[in-house]
Amino acid sequence: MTLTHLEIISFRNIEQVRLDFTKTRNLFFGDNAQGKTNVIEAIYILCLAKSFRAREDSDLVPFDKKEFTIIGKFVDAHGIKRRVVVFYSVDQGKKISLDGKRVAQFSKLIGQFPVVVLSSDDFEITGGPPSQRRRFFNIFFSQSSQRYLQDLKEYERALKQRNNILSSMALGKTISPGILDIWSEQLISKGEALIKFRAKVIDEIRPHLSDNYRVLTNSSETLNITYQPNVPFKEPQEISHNFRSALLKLSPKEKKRGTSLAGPHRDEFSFSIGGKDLRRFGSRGEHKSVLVSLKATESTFLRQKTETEPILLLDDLYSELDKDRGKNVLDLFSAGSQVFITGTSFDYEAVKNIQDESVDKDVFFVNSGQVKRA
Amino acid sequence: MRYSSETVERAIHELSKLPGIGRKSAQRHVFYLLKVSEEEVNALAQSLIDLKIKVRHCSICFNITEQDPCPICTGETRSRSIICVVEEANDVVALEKTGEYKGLYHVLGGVLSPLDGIGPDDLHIKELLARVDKSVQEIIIATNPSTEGEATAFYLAKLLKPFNVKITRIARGIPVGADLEYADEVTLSRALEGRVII
Repeated sequence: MTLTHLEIISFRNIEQVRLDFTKTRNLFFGDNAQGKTNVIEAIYILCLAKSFRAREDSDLVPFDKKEFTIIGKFVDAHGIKRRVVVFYSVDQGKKISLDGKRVAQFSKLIGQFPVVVLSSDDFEITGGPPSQRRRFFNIFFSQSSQRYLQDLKEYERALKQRNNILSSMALGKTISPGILDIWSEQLISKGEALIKFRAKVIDEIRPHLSDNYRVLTNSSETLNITYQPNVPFKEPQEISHNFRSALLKLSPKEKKRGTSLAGPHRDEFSFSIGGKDLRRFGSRGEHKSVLVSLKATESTFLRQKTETEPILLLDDLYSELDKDRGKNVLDLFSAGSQVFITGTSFDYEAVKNIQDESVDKDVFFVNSGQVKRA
Repeated sequence: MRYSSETVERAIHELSKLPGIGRKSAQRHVFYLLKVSEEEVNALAQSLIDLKIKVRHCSICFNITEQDPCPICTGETRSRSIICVVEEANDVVALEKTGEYKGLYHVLGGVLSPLDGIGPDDLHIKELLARVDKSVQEIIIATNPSTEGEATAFYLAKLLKPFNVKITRIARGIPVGADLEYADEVTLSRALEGRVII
C-alpha cells in the first residue's frame, strides 16, 4: 500500500498541509516540537482510526479549534485507488469514510492499510508492564486477522460483563445462581481462540525475530520470545479445560476482589537474549535492538498475511540508533515498503551524505507546523 | 434556533426524543406535518394513541398483540411441539417472513447483560420454563450471535436440559445470495467452523 496524497487540516500544530508522495522513502527533518511526529501520527490515524500516542481524539485538536480533518489517498499494488477521510469534531465525534462511503465500524478499517510504527514511546513495549506488550500484540495481530480482532472484541465484552457480576458479588449483592458460570463459559470460548492464535503466531514469528536481531546487532547471542499464557497448557486441546479449572480455583478470590483473575487479558510475552531475561538484565541498547527487530518482524509478518506492503512510520529513527545502523535498520524493514522517517536537523546534516543513493527519496523540512519539500 | 410558536417547539421536542431522530430531522418532520391535511395528522396521532391503548403483550409468548393470547399462540395451523425463543418481537416478524416456521414463539424481551443490569428475572425465562410440557419436543434458541445473545443461549440451554427436550441453536454463516468472495473473513471463518456433513 502506498500513500500518494496527504492532507491535514487543523491537527495539533498543523494548520493545513497538503503533500504528494511519489517516492518510496520520505524523510522529514526539523527541530524539535515543529510537527514532524504529527505528520506521522496523522498517517497512522488514516490506517488504524486511532492515534498511537494520544489517549483522546480531543487531544489532537488545536486549542483554538473544534475539529480536525485528515485525508489520505492510497494506491495498492494492483493500482486500485483508495481514499480515507478521518474527520473529528468535539461535538460530533469521529467520522470516517472509505472511498466515499461512511465506515460505521472503525474496526473494519483495520488491516486494510497495514502500518508499522516505531516511535519514541515504544520503549514501553519491551521495558514497560505486560499490558503494553498485550496492547502491541493486539494491534499487530488485529491488523493481520479480522477474526482475531473480532474474537478480541467479543472477549473484552464478555470480560466486562463477567467483571460487572463479580464486582456486584464483591459488594455483597445476590446474583442468581449459574449466572456467573455462563459468563465464565463465554470468557473461556472467546479466550481460547485468542490464546490459540497468540501461541501459533508467536511460534511463527520466533525465527524471523531472532534472524532480524542477529542481522541488526551482528551479535552471536540469540533473541528469543516466549508466550506466557496466564492459563498454562501443553496441548491446545487442554486450553478450555485448564481455563475452566483456573477460574474454579480462583473463584473465591475473584468474588472478593470483584474482577476476573484468569484469562488472556493477563497474558505475558517475554524476551530473552542469550537466555537472559530482557526486562531484568537488558541494557538500553539491547532494548532498542529488540524493539527494532520486533517491529521489523511485524512488518514482515503483515506483508505475508495481508499480501500488502505495510506502510512504515519510523519516528526519530536516527536518535534511536547510531547513524550507520540507521541504514541497517532501513534494510531490515523496507523490502519495497513505503517509508516515512523523521529526524532532527542535526540528523539531516549527518545522514544526507551517507544515505543510500540507490533508493529514490524525498526530503521535507518541518517548521512550525509547515511542511516544505526540500 | 427556536421558533416563534410554542406548539412547533413542543412538537419538535417530542419528535426529537425518538431513536434516530435528531433536532434537524424533527424540524423537517414538523414542517412536513404543518403542510399536510388535518385528516392525515389526525390519522397519525390516532395511530400513536391506539398503540398504547390496544397493543399489549401476549400472556403466553410475550409477542406484541391486540388479542390475548396472540394469533400465533391460538393459531390452529401452528405446531405446538416446537418453540422458537427470540430476543424481541421484531425477531418474530423477521422469522414469520420466512414462511418456513410453523411452530410457536417465546419472546424473552432482551438478553442477559449484567452491564445493563439485566439478569434472568428481567427476562421472560420463568414463563418459558412453565410452557415446557410433554407436548413440546424441540426448543430453538434464536438469540442474536452477539456475546450477550450467546451467553443467554448458553444459560437457557442449561436450564432446559433437565426437561428432556431437544434444544437447538440457529446456525450462522454465509448470507444467502451473497457470493463467498464477498463475505467478510470473520463470517467466513466462523461458517467454516460451523460446517456440517452432507
